[in-house]
Amino acid sequence: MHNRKPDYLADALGLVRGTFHQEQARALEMLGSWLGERQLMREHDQARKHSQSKRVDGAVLISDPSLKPFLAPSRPPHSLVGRARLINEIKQQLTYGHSLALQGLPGAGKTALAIALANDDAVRQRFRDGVLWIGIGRGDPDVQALMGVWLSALGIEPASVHSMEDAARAIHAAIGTRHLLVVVDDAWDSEGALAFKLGGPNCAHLVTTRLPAVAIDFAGNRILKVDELDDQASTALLQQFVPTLENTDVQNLLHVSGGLPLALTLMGRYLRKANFASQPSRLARAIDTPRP
Amino acid sequence: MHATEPMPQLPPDLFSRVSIRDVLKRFHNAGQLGEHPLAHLHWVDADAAPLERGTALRELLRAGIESLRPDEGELRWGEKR
Repeated sequence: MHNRKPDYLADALGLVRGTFHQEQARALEMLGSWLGERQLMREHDQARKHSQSKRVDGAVLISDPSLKPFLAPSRPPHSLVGRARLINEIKQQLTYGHSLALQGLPGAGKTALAIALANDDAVRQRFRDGVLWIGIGRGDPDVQALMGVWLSALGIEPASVHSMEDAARAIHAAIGTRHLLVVVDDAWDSEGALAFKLGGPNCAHLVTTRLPAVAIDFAGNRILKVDELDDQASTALLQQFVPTLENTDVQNLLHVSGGLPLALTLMGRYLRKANFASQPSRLARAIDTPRP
Repeated sequence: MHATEPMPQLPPDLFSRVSIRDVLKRFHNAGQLGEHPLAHLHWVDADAAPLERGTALRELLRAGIESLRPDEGELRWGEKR
């Protein structure tokens, strides 16, 4: 029907002429918009591919600068208690771009603190280009594979990097002058932790570790000790899970937990489940036999 | 595509009603279609021949028209509107 006159088409389609012309104009505009969007998407895609294909030192791909990685775990549903002063101190030091270490007993809440910091509005504002987070853990971690997570987050294809040194170089180059918070969680040896200290001049580094030697190697004398919670904070944490706990029960549980937030959280979760049916007898039994 | 990356701007009249009407008039002639400014937007290689550009643009237009087709049952024919 491409050579038919509009009036013929209007009649054939069962439309009055005014409606036909109006609909035709709308259809042309919609098709124009569709084509425009396609073209913009295409140009955008080409620009992205182009930026990814540039090379640094003839070997390492550079990243997409528009990416703002945020690799920190999200905030847990319960709030952090008893750490306000410590958090303020850490935030202040991070603002200056220092390397810090959070050191303390297992279960003292080092990782929870780091998560809270990474999700803090002021911290995210200061490190506006995002958060690089890696959990190392015990054993013999595959550092290059772990670096692959950061490479991907920075828009670099991990397969294009063939050694740990190249990966480190690519990550450092990609970070450049970006404002990033770099978090190395649960480090068990200095070498592994330092391998991820790859930020630039506008970054701050934070490591969590139970080992003083790792903390010193990573952060020098900027070590913040994460102690057990005092009784008041421990009670507040437990009562977030089970607000109806009797005072004597709370005291017993505090004694068992030793003020370690992880133990308190696990107990709290367990008791909350037992308390869910709102049966005091079930809760009492659960307190008698805590199996976090 | 990354939502945070700014998109490039294109001349708006290239996708105007007049321009689209013009390109549709050439729909059945791939050679003429390939000469239209819209065919020079690298839907195919920059050094492609007009016929090739026209064919690529036609396929694209066809896809666009298809994507704008209303769902079945949306239109009621036979009654003057």
